[in-house]
Amino acid sequence: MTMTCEEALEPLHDRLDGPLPPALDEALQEHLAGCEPCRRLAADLDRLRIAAGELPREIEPSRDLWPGIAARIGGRSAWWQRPQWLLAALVLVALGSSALTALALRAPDPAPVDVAGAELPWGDELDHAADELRAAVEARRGELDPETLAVVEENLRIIDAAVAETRAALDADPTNRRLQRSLAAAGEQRIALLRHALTLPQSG
Amino acid sequence: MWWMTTAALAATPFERTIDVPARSVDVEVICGALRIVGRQGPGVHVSGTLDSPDLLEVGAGRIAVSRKARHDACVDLTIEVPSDTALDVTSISADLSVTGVTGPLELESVSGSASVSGSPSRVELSTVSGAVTLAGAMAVLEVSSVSGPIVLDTTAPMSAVELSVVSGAITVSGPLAPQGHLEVSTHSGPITARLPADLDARLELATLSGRVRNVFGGREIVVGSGAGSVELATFSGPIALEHLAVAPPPPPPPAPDAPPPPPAPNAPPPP
Amino acid sequence: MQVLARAPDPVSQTVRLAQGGDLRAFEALYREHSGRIHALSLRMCGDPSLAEDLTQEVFVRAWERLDTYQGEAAFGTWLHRLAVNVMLTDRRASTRRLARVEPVAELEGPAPERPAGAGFDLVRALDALPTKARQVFVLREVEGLDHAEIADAMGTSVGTAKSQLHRARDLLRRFLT
Ligand SMILES: [Zn+2]
Repeated sequence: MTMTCEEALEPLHDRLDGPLPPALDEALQEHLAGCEPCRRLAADLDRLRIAAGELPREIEPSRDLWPGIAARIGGRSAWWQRPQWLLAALVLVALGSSALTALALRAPDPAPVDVAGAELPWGDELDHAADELRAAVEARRGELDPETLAVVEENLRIIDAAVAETRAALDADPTNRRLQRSLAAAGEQRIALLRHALTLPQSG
Repeated sequence: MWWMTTAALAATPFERTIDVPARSVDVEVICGALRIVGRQGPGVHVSGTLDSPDLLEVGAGRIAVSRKARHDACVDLTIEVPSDTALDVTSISADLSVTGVTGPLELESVSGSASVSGSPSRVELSTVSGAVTLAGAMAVLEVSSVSGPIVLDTTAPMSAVELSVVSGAITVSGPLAPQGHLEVSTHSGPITARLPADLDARLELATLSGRVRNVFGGREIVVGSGAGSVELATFSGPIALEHLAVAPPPPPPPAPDAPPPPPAPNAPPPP
Repeated sequence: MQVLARAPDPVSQTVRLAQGGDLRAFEALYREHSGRIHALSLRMCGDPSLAEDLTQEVFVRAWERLDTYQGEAAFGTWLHRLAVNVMLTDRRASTRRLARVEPVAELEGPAPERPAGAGFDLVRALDALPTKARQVFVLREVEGLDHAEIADAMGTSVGTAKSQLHRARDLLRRFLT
């Protein structure tokens, strides 16, 4: 007994939801072997599935929607959207910390400036950002896999120690550009790690 | 680790072959082991075991542990792909190995080890604490970690290589492409670089408090015409720049008057 | 609405703080989930500016109903379900949609020439689908809901949801070369 095209239609779609019962699958395969249009349909359905699977799972809105939401639910804005550059930097860091770190390390020395007087963009603001993210990670503590969380925390301590050492050295030698750059790099790495921790899957 | 026991008890065999016209494959796993092997011919073949039967979602172009899975849902998988496939691999703690691929490779993980061999056209790898081992013909790499050690041993001339960790060790060996750029940085870990004696590059070895040993000379020098650039930087880690052995060293001829090597003693049993 | 058969998740500290009225905690939840929800909005309505409105609407509604979340599923899952509901029921989703059917209708002529595989412009093709078919396709193929969940969310039978899906796939096929 062979399957007609009409009978093949439903199983052709259904096989995308999971394996068909063996007998049905066999009948379908038999039909496909002898039917070009159904083979084309099967291939097309697969391609649609592929194309759908390739769409990104997350797309950030092109503008920050939080201020609008906060306004509607009657709140004030938090540190995130205050300095716009900081948010942009955080997003960049989250997307490619190493690229940014490398960029920071590679950037050619600009003309010397009065660093002591200038406000370093990667100084306190970045620390503050790290503190906020740390609080957010802390809030997720119960949700995260304890082993992974332990790895994240141990490595945060490593970065914290590196930041503290670099900062102390910078206090003694405030115009050392390499130290400035490595402080920025370590600060970024810390942010990246914290953001990474926030995107870890929940424990079961 | 207790999940291994669970995996052994509950392992479900899994095997599937899929068609991937776009020659690009995303893989997402949580824990366990993942081997990706490049091979000739079309089609992607996935085989191995899963902690539970419905754990894996396989669509062409994407092989992923279900987002509904628990954090301890592990896999032990081998994925064979056409060698020129572009790979994007994400893992939390799985041990990853990629061999024989020639396409670009992006890899992100938290704590599993990562080992890459072969000649991927480009490697971007970031991990938090996993050990990273790269061996083969690799010219373009960007690898970063917080505490995992990084070892790179390449036969292909490095054209753009950036390796960075905070506290782990970095070891890099290989030739530098004409005008190639090698940049290695750690905070406290040691850097060991082995470069050919006929190097042609501007060298900068920078450290605040680490020891520096440079077979080519001082901390900031030009070797040859200075076409390429090599920058090795640490805060407190030691830096060693050595000559790369040109070819695998032949076994040294026995000195005429040397006694034959003693027979290897049996290794003592582990305590 | 179906409750997944799984152990209840502990309600996270962030969620609990937000339930207690802590706006900063809720902002953290927004930061964490906005990308996922916005991707859903974009696909469900196909209009970037409307999608921003819908994403915003989802979070406002989530804030209003936060107390109904009891940890029966992961917060992300709860939010996603709420979002699907908002997008299926928000009146603007269908009115604005009507306004843009006309230019979109041009797409329904001969199938545009598109390279196969990765080159296939699914986003553009989805724009040419009738609303229901588009939504069913997105929920099934992009968001991974099963037929029962989709039927439940759309208030139809599984059979109807399935036939909408088949229709959507048939229409989308025309955009494959
Ligand atoms: Zn047929």
